[in-house]
Amino acid sequence: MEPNYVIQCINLTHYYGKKLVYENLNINVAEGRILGLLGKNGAGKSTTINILNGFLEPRSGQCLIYGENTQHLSPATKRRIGYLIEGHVQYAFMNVHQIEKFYSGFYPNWKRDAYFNLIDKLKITPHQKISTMSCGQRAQVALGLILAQDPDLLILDDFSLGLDPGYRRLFIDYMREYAKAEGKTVFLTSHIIQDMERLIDDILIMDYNRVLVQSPVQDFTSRFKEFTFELDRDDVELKEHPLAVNVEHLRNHYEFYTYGNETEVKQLLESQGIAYRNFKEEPMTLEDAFIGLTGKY
Amino acid sequence: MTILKHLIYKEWVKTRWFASIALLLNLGVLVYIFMSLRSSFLSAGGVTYLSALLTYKTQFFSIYRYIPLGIALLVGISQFAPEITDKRIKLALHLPLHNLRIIYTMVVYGFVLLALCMIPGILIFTGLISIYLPAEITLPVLQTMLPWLLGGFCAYFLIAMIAMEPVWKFRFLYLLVSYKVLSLFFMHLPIGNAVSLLPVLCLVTCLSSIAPVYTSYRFNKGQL
Repeated sequence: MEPNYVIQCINLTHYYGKKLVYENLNINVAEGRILGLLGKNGAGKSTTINILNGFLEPRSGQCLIYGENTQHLSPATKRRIGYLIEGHVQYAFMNVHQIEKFYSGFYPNWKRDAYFNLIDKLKITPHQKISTMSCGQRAQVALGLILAQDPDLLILDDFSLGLDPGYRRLFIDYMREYAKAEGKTVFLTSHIIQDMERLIDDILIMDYNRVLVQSPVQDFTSRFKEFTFELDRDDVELKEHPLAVNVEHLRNHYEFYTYGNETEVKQLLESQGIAYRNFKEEPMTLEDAFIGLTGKY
Repeated sequence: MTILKHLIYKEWVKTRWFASIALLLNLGVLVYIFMSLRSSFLSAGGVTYLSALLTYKTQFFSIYRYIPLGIALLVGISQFAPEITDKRIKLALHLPLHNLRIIYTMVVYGFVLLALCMIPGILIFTGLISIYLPAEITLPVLQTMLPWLLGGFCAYFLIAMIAMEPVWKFRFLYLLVSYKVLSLFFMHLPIGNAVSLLPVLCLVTCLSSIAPVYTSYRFNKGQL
């Protein structure tokens, strides 16, 4: 049975001037899933977030959220979307009470207690302006507002920006627990990939102009492998072989990234008459896999 | 209605101190002009002073010329600077309302606030100067001040337009155009000679009120 998609981007193509960002990009996010969008700087993450929020019109193609084109979202659909702007940007000229009072008028199911449960944990004075808070405190205010809004879909743009490790962990644990308990759908980006590992169900990795991976994160990490070995020479060219997704080497120490298995890689080397030693499969974190897939540069 | 009330609440939090300063500035300058007029009237004698005014067409209120512009800057900048910092306007546009309604609630709020800062002061001022000056002088005084007031409103709309523009180079371009447009409102004309210009200035002010729609549309389309 076809899953119920909350987000559908169909043949999305966008350029900045003459520079192609991506062409015919297709993204689907099923209801209740947490999807992490990864990519290097300039790969198109922010472009995608802006299109999803209706702040950017793609050159062609369209994104649908709950079946509505994101360029013309109705107020009812906007009400179902919680949006965290990169850097936890909020109305910094307000204090925590003013901002709660402001937002509460827009959302009929506003959960005041959810907000103040989080805010009460902050060591702030009641009338302290958000502009005078630390980045972690601001993140908690932004998170509290989203929890009070109780949206069905959360779009979190680089949620880890500026947060120290403790707050990042708190944010991730809170978000995962909340999303899974309440059946929320989450679309997020982050520069810190180790954060994603604890949080996401599905992964979408973008490189310049294309999508490299879109799958459940478990599928990706179990299929994508790194093998290391040493060769006698340091000028062996292996990148062109279809089995190789990426090959990096430092002198004669080679890192071979592939969706193949150990036997296939060894057969490749042997078929080319390449002598190797110290061949082994390296355990990889999601971050290792991301770098292996996209390259270090 | 509740939603609009909450939207206006945000605008109020941003602007309340600046609006208070603007209101005091307006009243302060008008009171100063009135006190100077009264003092001159009493010291020179009524007939002498009135004949000097009629003969030399002295603009005893010329200090007021750029006050509406200053008030528009105070209100406009306090309202829109926080919105363009960190592209915070995205938060407003994400609210569950149609974007045009959000933008126009903000702009109409600023317009009403500006009117509240300026109009009551002007009405009181008119009443007070009528004690000393005949209608033949009061009316041209108001006709001379009206372009400045319209200039304040027009400046406010242009600030909103510039704030919503997503591209900095266009902001500079709009700034130059705005400077030229606003100079129409602050020309140094003899008392009462601005009457023929008033319809044009009203039209320019009305047109400038729709300018923020254009730039907010550009913002929404992500024009670069």
